[in-house]
Amino acid sequence: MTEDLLRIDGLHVGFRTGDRTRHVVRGVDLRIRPGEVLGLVGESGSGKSITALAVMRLLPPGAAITSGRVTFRGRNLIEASNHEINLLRGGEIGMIFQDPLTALNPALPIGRQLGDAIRAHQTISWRTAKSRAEELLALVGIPFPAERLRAYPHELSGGMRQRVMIALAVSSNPSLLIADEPTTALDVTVQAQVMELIDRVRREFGIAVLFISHNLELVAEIADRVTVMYAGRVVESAGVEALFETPNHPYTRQLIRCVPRLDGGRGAMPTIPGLPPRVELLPPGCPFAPRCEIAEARCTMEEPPMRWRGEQMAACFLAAS
Amino acid sequence: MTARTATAPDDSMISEAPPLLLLRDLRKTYRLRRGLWDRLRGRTRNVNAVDGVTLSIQQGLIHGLVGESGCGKSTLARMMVGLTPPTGGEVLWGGTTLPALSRQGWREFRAGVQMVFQDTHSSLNPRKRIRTILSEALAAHGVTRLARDERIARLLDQVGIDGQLLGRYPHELSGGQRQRIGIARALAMEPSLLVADEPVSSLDVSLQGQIINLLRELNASLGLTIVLISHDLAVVARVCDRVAVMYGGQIVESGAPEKVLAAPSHPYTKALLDAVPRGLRRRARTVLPIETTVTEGGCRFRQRCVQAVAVCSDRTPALRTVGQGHLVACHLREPVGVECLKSP
Repeated sequence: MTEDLLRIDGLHVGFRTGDRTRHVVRGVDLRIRPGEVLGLVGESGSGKSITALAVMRLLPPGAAITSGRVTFRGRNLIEASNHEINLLRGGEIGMIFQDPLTALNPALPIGRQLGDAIRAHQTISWRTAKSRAEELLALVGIPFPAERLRAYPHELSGGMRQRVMIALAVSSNPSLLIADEPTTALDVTVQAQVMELIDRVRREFGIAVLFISHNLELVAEIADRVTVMYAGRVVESAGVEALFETPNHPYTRQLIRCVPRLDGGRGAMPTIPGLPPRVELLPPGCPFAPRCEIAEARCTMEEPPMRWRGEQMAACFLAAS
Repeated sequence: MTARTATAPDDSMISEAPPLLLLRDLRKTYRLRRGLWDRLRGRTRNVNAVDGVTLSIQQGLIHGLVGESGCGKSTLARMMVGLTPPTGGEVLWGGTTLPALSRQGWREFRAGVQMVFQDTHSSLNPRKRIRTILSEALAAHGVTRLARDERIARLLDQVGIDGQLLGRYPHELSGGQRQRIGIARALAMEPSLLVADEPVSSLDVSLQGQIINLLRELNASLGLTIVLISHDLAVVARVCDRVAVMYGGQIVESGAPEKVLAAPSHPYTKALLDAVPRGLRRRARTVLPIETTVTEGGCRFRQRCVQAVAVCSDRTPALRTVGQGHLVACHLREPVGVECLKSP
């Protein structure tokens, strides 16, 4: 088995309010092998974005890693110096976010921003950086790249801006790309184009991708393995086929059933009753138990164990093993 | 007759009861603000957000309106509820155009057509408690102070909200609960038509179904007519009785979802359906050409259409019946003249 590119062990992230710390990520383990696409799925508040931000040490003010390890190519990122982290961000680890308009500088043309990013990690002349920027724009499928170098972010459509973000992210030949809901703000036809681009870029450059999304169908299309989070914990982790064909955690099963399908016929929509728990009011035992269709008495009292079925892990008393 | 002036009723309109709301050749043109130099030289540019839409909203049905951002569906919704005045065409409420409504008729229209918005953060006043938000709506409807508490209790019951939340502020509620309050506020006016603009797109998957099911229940129990605007084709296919697909400010295809979404006829509808992620079932999909600006004149979709021929840039295709209640605006679906189209 190849060595893991990124490994997260027992990660806890908490927000401090007054003298209390509320944990939004509570013991997350995940690993990504080189060249692999890991889908990280969860609803809002599940802790999936905070997990990704913790990897890059970009947590919002008030949030801090309280325990756990984040290892990238054998290096512990939690203990790395700020200088080391800065080299990694936009270097070996590229990032794309949901909203490219806030991630790009509105006051600078995109050619300048690409050039800056390239020169931050390589000592090359402006002229070389500029021609490299042009190549990158062509690579991500932007028509007339030479002219577009002078365009400002607001002059581009949402899909084009996300292409620029991808060009920025791959400009330094990263080995890991963190994509946090990269297509959520886009229309389906543009979403399809961007998904195809992400898939192509990772194939051509052998980049591993941490693909974070709430859209199960999208994750199923691109991921090799999938990790499902609920209320700050990993509830299931498996290869993409196993996860979607034989989900072993009731939450995964119920969530897959909720996804509206075009060939699903007519009638009422399947739902999961109730609401996700709030971090400050977590129920004892399994956090999903109050909404679970097969919960038993012990589920509301004890934390469920991790059950393995081959490579498939589910944190549930009732999971098959 | 060209599509620009096409106002003739089609088969589906004749065969049915008079519509609750009829949009006839509706248009909305926005003038783009340009720099001083252009304005001095008299150069202006217009954007036709809605460009000749004829649509009948039938009593008691759930109508779906789908299309991508910028296709004009939200502008159309705002014109339906009277929030945005059209620059052309007309909206008929009970057979009367909106400007011709009497004072009383206008009041009835404003109460009878209600809207539910996508963003529950900005559509509920953050400084007012839920009780106040609902009782203001009832007051506007002329419900006396004494009767309000009872009506509020009934509204909450209809939308499945616990009465304990009445003293809360909107930010203390979850997104799903806020959307239920938005629906309750609309129901306070006892509307006959509810226009819901992307009501679930900011909600999590596990909660979307709850809100959509609530709309279905209201349709079944109150006979409420609903216009559901959504970019989620699977949701529309599941709950709507009718669906209209918009592109470039025009309706390109409409009819029953079993026809439009299961056996689409317009190339755009096909492309849109093709782009829907389908998970494991298909990990590679066809991809539409890169988005371009929508062109005026001719078919709006022609630059991205894989099947476009010469006539597509000459004439705007009109909506024509291709099957029972199934309308398509595409030259290639016209019964006559396909041969002559091929040799322009």
